[in-house]
Amino acid sequence: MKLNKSWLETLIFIALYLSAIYIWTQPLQKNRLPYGEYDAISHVEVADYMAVNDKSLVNLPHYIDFRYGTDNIYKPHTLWYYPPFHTAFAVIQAVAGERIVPIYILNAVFSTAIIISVYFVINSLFGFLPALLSALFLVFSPLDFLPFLWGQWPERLAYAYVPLILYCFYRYYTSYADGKEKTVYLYLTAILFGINLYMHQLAAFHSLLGIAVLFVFLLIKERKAPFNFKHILLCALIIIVMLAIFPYQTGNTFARFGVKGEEAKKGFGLSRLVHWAPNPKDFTGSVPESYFSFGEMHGLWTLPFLLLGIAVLAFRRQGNDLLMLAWLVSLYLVLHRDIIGKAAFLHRSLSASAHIFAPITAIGALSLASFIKSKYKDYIKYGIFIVIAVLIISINGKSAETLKNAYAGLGRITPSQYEASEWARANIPPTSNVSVVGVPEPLYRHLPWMAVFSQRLNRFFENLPTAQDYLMVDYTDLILLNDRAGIEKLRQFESNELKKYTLLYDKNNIRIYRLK
Amino acid sequence: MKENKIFMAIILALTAIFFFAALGITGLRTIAGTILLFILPAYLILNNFDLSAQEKIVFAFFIGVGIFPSVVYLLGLVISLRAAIAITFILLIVIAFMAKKYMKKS
Repeated sequence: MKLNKSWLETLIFIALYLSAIYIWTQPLQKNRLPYGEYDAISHVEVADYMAVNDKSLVNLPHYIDFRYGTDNIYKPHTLWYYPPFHTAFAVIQAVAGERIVPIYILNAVFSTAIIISVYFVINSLFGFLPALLSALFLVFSPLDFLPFLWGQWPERLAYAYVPLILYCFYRYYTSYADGKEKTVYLYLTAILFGINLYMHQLAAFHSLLGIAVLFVFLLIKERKAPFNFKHILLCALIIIVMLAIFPYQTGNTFARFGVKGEEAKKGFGLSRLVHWAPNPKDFTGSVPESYFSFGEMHGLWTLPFLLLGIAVLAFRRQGNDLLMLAWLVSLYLVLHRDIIGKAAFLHRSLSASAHIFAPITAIGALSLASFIKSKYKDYIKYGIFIVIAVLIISINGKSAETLKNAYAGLGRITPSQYEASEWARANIPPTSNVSVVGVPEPLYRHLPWMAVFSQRLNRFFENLPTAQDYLMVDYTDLILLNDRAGIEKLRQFESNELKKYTLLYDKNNIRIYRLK
Repeated sequence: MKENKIFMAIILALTAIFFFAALGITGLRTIAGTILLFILPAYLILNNFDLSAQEKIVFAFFIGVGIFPSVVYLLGLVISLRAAIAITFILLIVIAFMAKKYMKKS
């Protein structure tokens, strides 16, 4: 069997992609307990509920409704996201037979899907070298792995659809312009757009703008537009059916479109038009300032290549160049949508920057070879490729340390807390509240994590008269913190106040009492 | 054609070995489930259309992770989720073979 070039390229990409999976799953390799901020908790609990209870979730159970009951503003107390993302997790949890790890592995595959889609589109339109460089950039993109660590998961996958949708639309348009119309690409555009909307509305909005800008660019270039009433009707039908099968979530999508976020009230300064990123000060407390810095997120060394790439694309203006420019322009428009008062999640759109900057930077860097008049042009191109790859690994690669050290130590619940939560799920009635005492306030996040696995509402303990149903006395965090004073105080509280209540669970320094 | 199949089998084997080595048996089960449930049925459907091999694989993943769970969710409203997974898998495979038959005829 001969190893042809295309297979070799695919093998190289697969090796790179598996390396990405290895790097991105590092937080899971040493510690198999869950991690992430509140967003992550919500995604795990929705999926976990479906897998554990072996049924689809429509109305939110008590412990999820407590926090997310009004997130679906069209039909409160029902699932606020389109179901496929979380159902995919539930499917894989059911198939793999574990509650935590399969969700996190599938999520790593989903969150790195942008590497696959960018590689595929760039390889198809510009060739292997820029595609591989783009993929390498994205392996070490903090704009991608930081939201992945925090828990903004559906939009990670959703952004991977943007280049694919633009690609399909581009293929359809150019096939029409060439007189060999391939409608399969038009239908794929519609199907991928529908799924894009299922995953996250923000990315779907970006795709829609991208199609509009690409349409205008191609119309100017080709001077003819594809128009077939039957095909357009069929596409519209596909999207309508896809929206109609999840009416509560579609209702929520449209209802949310009319809501102005808090950020919108800040107004829009015209100076924003010359800045790519929103003002970091508008997001103090929710996102670190470095997240808005080009130097921190992409590396300042990439800027000349990025600018060169934009210049090359703008100068050539071939069909594939126009796709890249449309993608870039549409992201600029999305990032400045606050001009029309749509400022919600503005910083989240910024996370898509690397997806377009990476390939344009790669195209810019590799285009340097075309400026040199030499019969060794191809070798020079490979030389540039190697230099850029080394720079990416040595400079941008350092950021991967964040993944390696993510949520170490007390950042996660302890195995004892997980075990106690599982006991609570099996032994405490579903609508009961469990108050938790002993978890220090900075580790408050442990409570909703325990709620996920107990499938019971865990509330922060304030005092006995307000505590409800059950009380969990948890020494494990205090022991890990070596907080002797805290342990003693908790011990005294337990021996003085809880003697009269029934002790139901006593294991690994966690005790659960029935209060009522 | 035969060489393509051998090549795909090599890639699948490498991927399986990697997931097992890095993430244990759960990693292997997860990736096997992802390929079998999300990618394979969508790939078999797309295989009936005039698309390149790379396009079929990439679109199969991105369409599969949307369509497969959607059908499972809808069926899961009336039957158990695990049964819904099995029925969805069979349903999509049947659709793929029916599409193949239909495309051959036309």
